[in-house]
Amino acid sequence: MIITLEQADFLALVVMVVALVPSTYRVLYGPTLPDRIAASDAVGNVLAMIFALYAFQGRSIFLMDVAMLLSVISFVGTVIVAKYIDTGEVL
Amino acid sequence: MTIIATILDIISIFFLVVGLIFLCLGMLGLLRLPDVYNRLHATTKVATLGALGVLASIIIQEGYTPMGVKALTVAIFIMLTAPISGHMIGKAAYHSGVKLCEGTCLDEYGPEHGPKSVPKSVPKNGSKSVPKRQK
Repeated sequence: MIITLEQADFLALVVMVVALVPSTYRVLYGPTLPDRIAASDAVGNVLAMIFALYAFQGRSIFLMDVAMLLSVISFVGTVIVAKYIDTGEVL
Repeated sequence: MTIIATILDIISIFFLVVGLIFLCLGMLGLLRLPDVYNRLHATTKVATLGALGVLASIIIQEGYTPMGVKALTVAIFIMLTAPISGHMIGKAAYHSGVKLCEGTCLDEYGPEHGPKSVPKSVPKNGSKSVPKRQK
């Protein structure tokens, strides 16, 4: 059985979407607040990877911009909320 | 020419599989590990190794095209910022008083830097007062 490259990319997309489920559970039912922040950081990174792989599969350059922007927004949001928990103020 | 393309396909799929394995193991660790700090240990692997594996497969497939350069940019950015966010979450969790899990035997960050709510079972100087196993 020979799998072509596009089918391999589709299988990788399916695996990534399934891997979003435990981190979403941790975002919803996490015991403490830093749990939720770490899980939402992981969700942002996996979503950026999903968009990057879908851009590669669909041959669209602009979806790769979406991946770049998602990783930037995920990092900035994580750092800001972590700083808010740490010191009690945002800036 | 086709031999080189086939070899590049094989290397690309190898990196993709490595990235997916690290991603699934990181999500398993996020679900199963007992503590915030242990879960951070798992999610940082998702951010660095899983994402870098997937992006490396795209870079190998594309080469020097606009999509490949954008993927390289995303890879460099994630490689620079994932340890920073991990350290920020860990420091915020320790300062806001999240307790360590029960199996912890050494706290190098120390009770004098943290809040008052550090558990009392944490020894002050590490290797001497690690609790001995009976039997």
